Amino acid sequence: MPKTQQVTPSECPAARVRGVSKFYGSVRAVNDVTFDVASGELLTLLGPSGCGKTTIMRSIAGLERITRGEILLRDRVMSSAAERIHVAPEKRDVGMVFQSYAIWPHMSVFENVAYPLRCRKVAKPEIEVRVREGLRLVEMEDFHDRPATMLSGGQQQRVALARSMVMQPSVLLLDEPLCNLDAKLRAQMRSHIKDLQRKTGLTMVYVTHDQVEAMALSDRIIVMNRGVIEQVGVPEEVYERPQSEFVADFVGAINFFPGTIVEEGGVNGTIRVSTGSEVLACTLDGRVSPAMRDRVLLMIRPEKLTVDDGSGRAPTLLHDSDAPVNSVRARVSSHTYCGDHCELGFEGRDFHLKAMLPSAISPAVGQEAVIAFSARDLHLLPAGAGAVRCGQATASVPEA
Amino acid sequence: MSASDSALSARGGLDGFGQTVLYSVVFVIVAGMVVAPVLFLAVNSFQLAPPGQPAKWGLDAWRVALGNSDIWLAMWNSIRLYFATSIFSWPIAIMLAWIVGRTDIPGKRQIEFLLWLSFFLPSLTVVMGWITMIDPTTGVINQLLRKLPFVGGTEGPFNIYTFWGLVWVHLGQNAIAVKTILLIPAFRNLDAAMEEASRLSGAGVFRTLRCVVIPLMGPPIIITALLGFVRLWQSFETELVLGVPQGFYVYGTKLYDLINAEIPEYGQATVLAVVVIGMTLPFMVLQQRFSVSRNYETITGRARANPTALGRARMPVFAAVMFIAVLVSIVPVIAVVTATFMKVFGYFQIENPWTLAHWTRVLQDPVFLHTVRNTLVIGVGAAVLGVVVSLLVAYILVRTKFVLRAPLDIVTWLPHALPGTLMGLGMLWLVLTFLKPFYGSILLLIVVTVMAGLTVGVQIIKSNLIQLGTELEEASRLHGASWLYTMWRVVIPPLAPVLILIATLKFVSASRDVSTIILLASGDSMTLSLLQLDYMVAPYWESATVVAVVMTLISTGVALAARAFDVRLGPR
Repeated sequence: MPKTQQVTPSECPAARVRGVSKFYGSVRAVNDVTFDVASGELLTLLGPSGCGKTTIMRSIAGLERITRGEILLRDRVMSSAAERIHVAPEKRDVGMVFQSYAIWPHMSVFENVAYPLRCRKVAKPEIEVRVREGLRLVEMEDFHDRPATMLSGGQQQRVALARSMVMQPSVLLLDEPLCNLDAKLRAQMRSHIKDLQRKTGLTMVYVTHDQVEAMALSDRIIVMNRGVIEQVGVPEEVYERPQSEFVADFVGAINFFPGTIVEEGGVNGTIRVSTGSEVLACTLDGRVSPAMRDRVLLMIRPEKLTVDDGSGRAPTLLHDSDAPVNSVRARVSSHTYCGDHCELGFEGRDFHLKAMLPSAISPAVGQEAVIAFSARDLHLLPAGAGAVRCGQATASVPEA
Repeated sequence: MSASDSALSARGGLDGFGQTVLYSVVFVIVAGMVVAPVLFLAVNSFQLAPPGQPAKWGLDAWRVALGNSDIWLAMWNSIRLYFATSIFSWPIAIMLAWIVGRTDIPGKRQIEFLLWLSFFLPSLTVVMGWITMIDPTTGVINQLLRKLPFVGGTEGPFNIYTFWGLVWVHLGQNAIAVKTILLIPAFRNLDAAMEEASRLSGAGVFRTLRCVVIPLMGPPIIITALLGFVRLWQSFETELVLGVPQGFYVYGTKLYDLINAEIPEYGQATVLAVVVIGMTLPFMVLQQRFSVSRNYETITGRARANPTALGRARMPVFAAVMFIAVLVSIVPVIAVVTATFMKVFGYFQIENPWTLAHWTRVLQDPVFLHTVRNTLVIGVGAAVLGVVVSLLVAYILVRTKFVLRAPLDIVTWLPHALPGTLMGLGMLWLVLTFLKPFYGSILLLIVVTVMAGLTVGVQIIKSNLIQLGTELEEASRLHGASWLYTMWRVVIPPLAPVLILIATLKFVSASRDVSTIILLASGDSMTLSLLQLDYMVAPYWESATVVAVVMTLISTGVALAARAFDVRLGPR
């Protein structure tokens, strides 16, 4: 008994996930997750393996039965635990690109892509046209008659994409589609997928554990951990203003300073935080919340640090005229050359720091240096934010 | 110290020469045991004197045999029977394997266990079970059906002593169970994403099964089919019991008949043997190619346990599958066990039909006790010798660069294709000519059953050795261990469960074998299965049922004991 929502098609999300939980026995793979997928957007579910992202995606596809909550595609209820609705996967009009591609080896490239159309009883001449169009989109039109077993990983990937797009699904799900490709091909396919999404306007839900991939592709990112949503936002938000220690740590490298607020209400909302040995200035976007009264966590990305090793080659910090600059002394404890940049480890009096610097600036291990960073680039969180919430997600399910 | 150090060298305790000698000895023994009887048969088909007498050469045997229409009819019957059985067994086995391997029915482990039980049942036990049920006059099912108003009569409606009766019994023996057991892992290992991609493309459960799952299972199905096809000449004891009374001969029984005639027709029998070897070899080579190339590996992936939901059909499907599983395992056993306690086989209507007399009579019979001892000795002997030979051969094939590996590989496939009666005949001839003192000895029976079962053992160890990788051994050698020490400490321990599995299979097949040993056993080396056959032909049906139950207890008992030792016998 599908419920109809009182929404006009234009503002109707392509998919709605409402309070969905999935338990395997006592293991809570997904716990009360709610989000919408807007029509035409590329939404990424990002998180470590076992965080529940694949389970959610498979639930949308109808490959898993949910324990609680409901899932709607357009305005149709596809899964509802309360009403015991579970529409079969073949009736959901959802496309999916599998991690293993799942290209059927006993069919040619053409037959693989034509399969969804044959299932929909599309007329033969139209199948011919649409398959060719689909293969052209993924730049595989010359492989038409090739047996599927004679394809490389990247080519299988493209065929899988064509196969899932040719039926013009209401939502296209992509399950870590790039993780079996080598680094170069991965970058290539990443931009190709982004391109396809722009051209076709398909709604995509993309699952990955790779934060670079998520940043590069997504309109919006949902960061998940232990079966719950940690943060939802556009890539910049997730990277620049992580709402929890987990998100900060998972999305890129980061330095933490635990401390307590010692002074509030400076110019432009600047506060001062004591980390023990240092007192750091931090520009706050909002107000100091009651949760910050106790302990706080300051964080800063390694690329926001600048280092003066006394050689005079350090890049000048581009000060905001109104933001104070913090500087701390530390000894270089490690130095890793990475080609276009180098990664440095620093040992302070009671802190460790990692910095990402241009290769030209390379203080030697053991050398003293002054590390400077803007109060604007420091991000403040109440200590313990986003730590395991009581009673939730006690165990994780191994994925894949 | 330094002398032994250099002898150890990079290759270990046995130096290169020593190893080559060892491998050559293994090759000569194995090839000799397998190929010599066959060659002997071929040569002797041009020889007119019976075994053990001065040779007389000529083409008479060929002339007579090729003109003997009975021989051709028997061969045609083998083929006919095989295909009639296959028409039913294949669709059923594929459906069963799919249901057990990929759907969400309950009790999968129990079903798989019953199929394994069926595999371990001696074929004569199953034959007796079905005779108890569908013998035209005394069969219980027939008696019950005749009570129905519209059936009536004094015979039938079913008759086991017919062509279709034979087909039915073959289905109940191994035709369904073995195929299903072999196919279940292939179905189970199929990457679930293959099915899921089809479902998301808009195909339902059955379209997915038809268009994706079964085509993907093509290679394992073909391998299993070839495996069965080369064995189409094997069937023997079932036809001996059910076919001969109706004048229906197949290849194996005809061969036996020619030799067991009042004046043994050795010449014609050898011709019959040579013809079948010639017909089987191409298929054997084909099957070996297929099994080795393993081109279905591309389709297996990390199996995600995501069975297809059958919805409302779940319980009915479960009931149907369980029914088949019980029918091929427990039902014939129950029938035979019941029969052992009946005064007269099949007569329920007499007053007080039950008795323990058959059990007490058979269990006190010194001949019976002697055959039990023989059976156990042969079973244990075959298990031990079989494991040693299989391990050595598999090791040589997988791990060494021994020059005669390729011929050795072919030799190990040959026994799988050779009918047991033929192997037995070749060995009989060989023994009567060169090794007369061994005729009728238990040692001979052990050797011949080991050789007859060589293929399976070698193949299983081979695949496990390949998976094991060479690094473990190389590491052992680099740390200073000899070849022998490495075998003992590094190669054999991880293979232990597999070796126990092979020992079990050898024990069970040797202890219940009929076709390979029937021409070779004497009164002294008589086994339970031959005793059972004697009783059935006599006919002392009641005694035969007791022997059948004892045989069944021995073979299933050993299989169950091996399971307790964590051997991969059937489902966990």
